[in-house]
Amino acid sequence: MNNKQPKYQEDDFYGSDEHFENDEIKKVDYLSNKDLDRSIQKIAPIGYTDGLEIGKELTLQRGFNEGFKEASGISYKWSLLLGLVSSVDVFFHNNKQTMFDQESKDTSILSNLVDKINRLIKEHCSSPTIEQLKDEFLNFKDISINDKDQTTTSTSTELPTKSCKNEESECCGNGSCEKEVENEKCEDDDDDSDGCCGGGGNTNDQGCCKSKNNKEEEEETKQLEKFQFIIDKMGGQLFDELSKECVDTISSFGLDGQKMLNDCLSKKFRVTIN
Amino acid sequence: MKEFDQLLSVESDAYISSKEQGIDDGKRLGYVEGYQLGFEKGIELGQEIGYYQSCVTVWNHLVSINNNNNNNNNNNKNNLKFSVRGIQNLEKLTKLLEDYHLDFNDENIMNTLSEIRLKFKLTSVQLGLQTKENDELSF
Repeated sequence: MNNKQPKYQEDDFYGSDEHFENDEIKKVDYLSNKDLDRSIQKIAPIGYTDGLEIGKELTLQRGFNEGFKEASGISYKWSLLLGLVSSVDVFFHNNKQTMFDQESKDTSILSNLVDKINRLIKEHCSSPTIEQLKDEFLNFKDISINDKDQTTTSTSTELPTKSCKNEESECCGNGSCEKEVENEKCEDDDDDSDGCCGGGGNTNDQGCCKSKNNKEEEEETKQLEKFQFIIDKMGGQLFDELSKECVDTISSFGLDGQKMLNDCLSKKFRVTIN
Repeated sequence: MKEFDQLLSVESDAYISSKEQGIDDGKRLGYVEGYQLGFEKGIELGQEIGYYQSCVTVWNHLVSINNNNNNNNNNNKNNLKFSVRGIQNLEKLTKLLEDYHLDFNDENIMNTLSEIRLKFKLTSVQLGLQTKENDELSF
């Protein structure tokens, strides 16, 4: 009987202890996970919103420049035809009696052509559709080096300040603290020069500058190809046909329509965007 | 103590991670918004300058034809009469458009554009060639 009692007590003792520990562990894990999830749910939107604002500032101007340059060329070209036909229409409308003393020629053909060009301009020079904007969004590539440099430098600048403060508290005005301050100034200078060609004599800076120029040239080439593609697509068929129609219509009124058209198209719209 | 340190680290890591994701999406969103706005403004300005340019070109042709007719034919029956002041303003407007260069770095670019607009309206009135598209295009 004495042998049986210790076994029972031992089993009961270990069993109850393990059971209690498991409950405690599960309870603590559950509470900690819940708290963590709650914390993350509070912090993540704040970080995402801050990131959105930073990202927008980095690319908004670039997007504006590219959109402006593309659209201005297209609308300028179409508008040349509009001005050409419209001014001739107004001229003959205001000078019917003088130009056509006895015969009365119908100038409505010019008015109809003006209306046609207006419709085409509204069709081809409208704002980009949602599908186009979606493609721009999905196909966006972060080409610029400056953006990456800015993001990296913003994260790296936090650490030196902390170390400098710590050293100030420890050194009490020694020279090492001043060195840290000088290093920070150097980093600030690098930030001002966008991390490229700041040193001047350093090979790394020269290489960085060369790679930057190469990428910019590539970007410009892509942009020109895209622009040329759009112009070819529009001007290859429809624009040429409409130009021919304008020339024929104007020539039927006794003017040199081809010369007028050539003079109009020879004028270029110069746009410089940095 | 380790649990509290992990909690602080998790919060910081969550902020950094979500911020990086926000920056990536923000770049895309900023580019698209800028592209759309730039496209709209480019359409407006390109259309305006193109219209002015071609109208002025045609007007110069008409004035030239009229001068030739006056030289060849002294009979004033069928000849048009453009005012001297209108022709002078046309020359000035032609010069303005030739020199117009849209440079975003130039602070006076909007003043030049306003000057072109005024000169265009004045010239069209003096030549008697008011265009009916003025109202439509709201120049």
